[in-house]
Amino acid sequence: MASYGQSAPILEYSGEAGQLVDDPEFNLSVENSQSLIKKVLEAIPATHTSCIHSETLILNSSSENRKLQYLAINLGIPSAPTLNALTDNFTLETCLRRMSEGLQVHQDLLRAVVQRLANTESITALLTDIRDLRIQINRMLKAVQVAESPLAVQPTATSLASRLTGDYEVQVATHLTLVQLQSFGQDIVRSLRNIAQANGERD
Amino acid sequence: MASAWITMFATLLLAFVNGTKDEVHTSPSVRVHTSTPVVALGSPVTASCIIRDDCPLIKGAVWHLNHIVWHLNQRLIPSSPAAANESGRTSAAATNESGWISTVLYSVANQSGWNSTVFIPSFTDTKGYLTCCVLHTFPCQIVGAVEIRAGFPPPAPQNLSCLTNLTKPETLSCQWDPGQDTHLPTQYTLYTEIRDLPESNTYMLPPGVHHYKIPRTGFVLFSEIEIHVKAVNALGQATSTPLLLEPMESAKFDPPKVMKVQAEPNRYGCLRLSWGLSEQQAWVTTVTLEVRLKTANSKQWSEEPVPVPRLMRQRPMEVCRLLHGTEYHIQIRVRYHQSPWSEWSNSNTAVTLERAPTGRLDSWMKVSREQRQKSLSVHLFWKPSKQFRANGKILYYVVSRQRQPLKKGQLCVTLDSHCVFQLPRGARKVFLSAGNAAGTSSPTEVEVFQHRALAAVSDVNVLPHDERSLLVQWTSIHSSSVTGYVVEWRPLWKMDPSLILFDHIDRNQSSTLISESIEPYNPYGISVYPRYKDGIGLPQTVEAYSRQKAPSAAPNLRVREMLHSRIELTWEEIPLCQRNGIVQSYQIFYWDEQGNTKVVTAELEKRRVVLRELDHSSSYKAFIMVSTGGGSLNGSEVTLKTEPMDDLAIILIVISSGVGLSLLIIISVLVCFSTHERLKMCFWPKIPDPANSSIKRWTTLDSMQDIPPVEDMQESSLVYLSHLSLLDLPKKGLEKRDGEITDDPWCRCSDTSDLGESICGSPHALSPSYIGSHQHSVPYATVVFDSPYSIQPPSQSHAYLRSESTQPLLEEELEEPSSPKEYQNVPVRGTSGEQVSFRECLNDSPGRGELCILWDDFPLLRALAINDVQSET
Repeated sequence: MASYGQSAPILEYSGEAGQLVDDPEFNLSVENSQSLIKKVLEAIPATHTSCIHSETLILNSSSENRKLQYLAINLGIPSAPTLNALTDNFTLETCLRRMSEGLQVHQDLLRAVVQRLANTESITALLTDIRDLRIQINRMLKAVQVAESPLAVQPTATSLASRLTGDYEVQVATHLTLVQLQSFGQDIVRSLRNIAQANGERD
Repeated sequence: MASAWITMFATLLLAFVNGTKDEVHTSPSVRVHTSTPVVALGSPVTASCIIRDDCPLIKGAVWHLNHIVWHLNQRLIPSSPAAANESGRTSAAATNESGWISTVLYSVANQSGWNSTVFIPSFTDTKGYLTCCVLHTFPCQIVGAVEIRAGFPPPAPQNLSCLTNLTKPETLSCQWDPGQDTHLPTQYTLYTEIRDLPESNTYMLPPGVHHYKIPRTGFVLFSEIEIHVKAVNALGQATSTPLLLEPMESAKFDPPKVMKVQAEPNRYGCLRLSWGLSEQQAWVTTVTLEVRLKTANSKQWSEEPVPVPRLMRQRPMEVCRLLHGTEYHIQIRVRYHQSPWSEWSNSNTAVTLERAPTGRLDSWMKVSREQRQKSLSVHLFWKPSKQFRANGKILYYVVSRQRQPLKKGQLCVTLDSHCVFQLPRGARKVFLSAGNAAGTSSPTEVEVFQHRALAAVSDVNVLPHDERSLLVQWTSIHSSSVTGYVVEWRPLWKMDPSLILFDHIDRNQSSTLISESIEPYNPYGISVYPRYKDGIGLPQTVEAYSRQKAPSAAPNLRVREMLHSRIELTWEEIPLCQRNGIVQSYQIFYWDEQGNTKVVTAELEKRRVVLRELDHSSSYKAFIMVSTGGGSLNGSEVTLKTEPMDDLAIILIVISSGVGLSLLIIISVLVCFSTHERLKMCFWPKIPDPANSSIKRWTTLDSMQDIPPVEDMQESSLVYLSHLSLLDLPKKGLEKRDGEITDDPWCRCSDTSDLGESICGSPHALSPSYIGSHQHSVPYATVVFDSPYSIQPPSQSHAYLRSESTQPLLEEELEEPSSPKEYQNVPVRGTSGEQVSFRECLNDSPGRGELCILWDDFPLLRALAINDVQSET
């Protein structure tokens, strides 16, 4: 279970050899991914506002969020994968795979809650952006992975959907998903910057 | 007839009831159908109408093949081609268009009836109804119809294009050109296939719609999507060329924002630009950017935007290679890779850092030397050369005698573009620099040339080029010592020397276009100076306008002098600022009260005109028309009144006339005195007194003594002398008898006899009254003719010889009507015109006895009569 909204800062890339991908397409995907994760992060507050009506469910309030840890476990909301700085132990492929897995987790969670929400427009748009981001991440992953292996993500949507018994649960599940997605998205931003630096991109 | 109608309605009612039972709109006993409800335009069409025997319309009726007719859109289709021909429609085209009908009797199983088939070989309507009609009664009854539609198969949609809208809700808008109208309902379907997703979408559109907005879920950002359109109608289908695009590269961004522009310390010629995409597009990390600039003084943006060579993140960027100390307005626009450019952003302004001015200043020096002074008076003008860069705001110009503008040698420091200073005669050069807040430019060396009487250019001509420029032309000087020319121009209506402008012209040129500070309708003085190696030549100056128009004001006419028949008018020159052109003429129009108009053109220089031959005491109206090269303006009308003849004038005329007359009289008197005798002879001739004279005593010599010498006569050889007794008749009497004098019977006394003449001329000789009236004596004269009197021209002058006679005139006697004398010709008055003469009384004419005068009463005349007889003999 990840600590929601307070992921540990990723260390900046230290410049180890073997992490570089000398491919313009890859660099373009990095750049596109950076755009898309930025788009997702920018959309989360508006989505939260449009979907969450409970005044106690505040997006950027860590103290309030700590009170929801029990409900999070009870609802079966999985934690996002951990993203670290690229090292020999945490390779580019691992990083990209974690990103993709984490995005899929949140896609599933949002798909589960969207069925129970009245206003689905913003969540649908958010889902679309996550889909597009995943496509870019997977494209990079495809470029770097040695052997194609299926993502180790367990289907969570059905389990969550079965637990959304009331409107409050739906609100809490949506809130927790958005909070976790925001945190995971910031991790992705750091990781992508890490990857971009690793490929020698300089602003 | 009524029964027939009733039967028909009953039949129809029955048919309706049957129809409702079978839930078929047509009667179950009638069926109309076609195998070709939709055909290509111009294709054949067939339809059939099957009427069973049990159809009430034909049941029991006497039936005939021709009882079934067809209509296409209310046009009757002939029963057969033969019938069509019979009806006069013989042309094949007409037959093809109309079609024909064939009706046959059928019998199938336990049913029988009539089957009518219509065939139209070429269906040319896009839509039509074929109606089957049974001629049971009149009119025929429609038993059923089929709709036929004709058109074309759809062409492939053309020009499929899509544009991504990144403003929420994000969409991908696609549109295409449907091509030729098919006349049939055509449905378009949009097919999309996303490369990175194993999914494809199909969007069905309502018929006739040929644009669609694909929702956000239907496309993936940064992933290619293939789109094509399929058009389908009843006759076929067609698919457009597939379009492969990446949605971001088809996005037209909103205009970006320029938040801040500023100059960074020590970044000369550069400005730092903070910018950003619009709020909804701020997530896009990198875009392609273009910058455009304009200086604060410029009205137009730079023609070519400055491309930023690499993809830009939304971070401050620097725009360099700008002019120093210059205010710039900056705008940007963005796109993603090759997507359409956004509109330009808002404009933001900043000033680049200043540096000391660079480049040289063009200068023009006018030197004048006072005769008694040892120094030179110098007027120096300058302007930036093309290479000059102010690099900031110019704060001063320095003219110095030294290259380094130290305070000691400064001649003037000014912000103007000219200054006046004194130089010692020996000075050869001065130095000119410009300064701003950042420093002073390197000095421009200006040689001091005293103006000398060097040759001037010739034929300076200035032509208007357009409203704000003038073309100056001159004939160049072919001399190696000429280094160039200076064209100087200044507005003539302002005397401010700072308005003097100049331009340096190359020696090979002989014309230049000047446009700086040239305004239409204003006069400019343009001078061309030749520049020699060792001095400046004499100028040639002309006045010019870039455009002329009629003056803004006309001069006021003033009367300068007014006499009886002439008025002198004058006027002031129009002020330069109101002249609007070069004055070409002043014309005065004036007219009297009768409207007789005259025009006088004045000399340009004098500005005065004299109106002559005016009537006294008359009123005239006049106005002035002033014309320039651009038009004319009439002045206000003035009324002029000529003076009457005043007293003084009359007195002057009288005095002058009197003096003249007096002088004439004096001269005449003097002449008279000097020729007294002659006048005396003329006016008071010496007439001999017949009473005191005797014929016998008269000798030839005596009679000839008054005759002028023979040599005085015109014809000396022949002298006619007549002793005519001329009476000093009153002028009146002479005039009365004018023309009759020569006919006077006295004058017929042409006898040369002195005696006779004397008697003839003195009828009163023996009159008793005459003796007593000596005081009324009349001088007599002898007239000397040079030819016989009868042929004397009346105008010929004659010599007069004074006669001694003092006999009173006959006329005077005649003036006394109360007592006519016996020898008087009494009836003279009563018978005017009748010639009366002294003659003998004839016995045979007793009627004239009263006029008869006896010769005995006039002894002398009697002797004359005798002489006449003798001379006649």
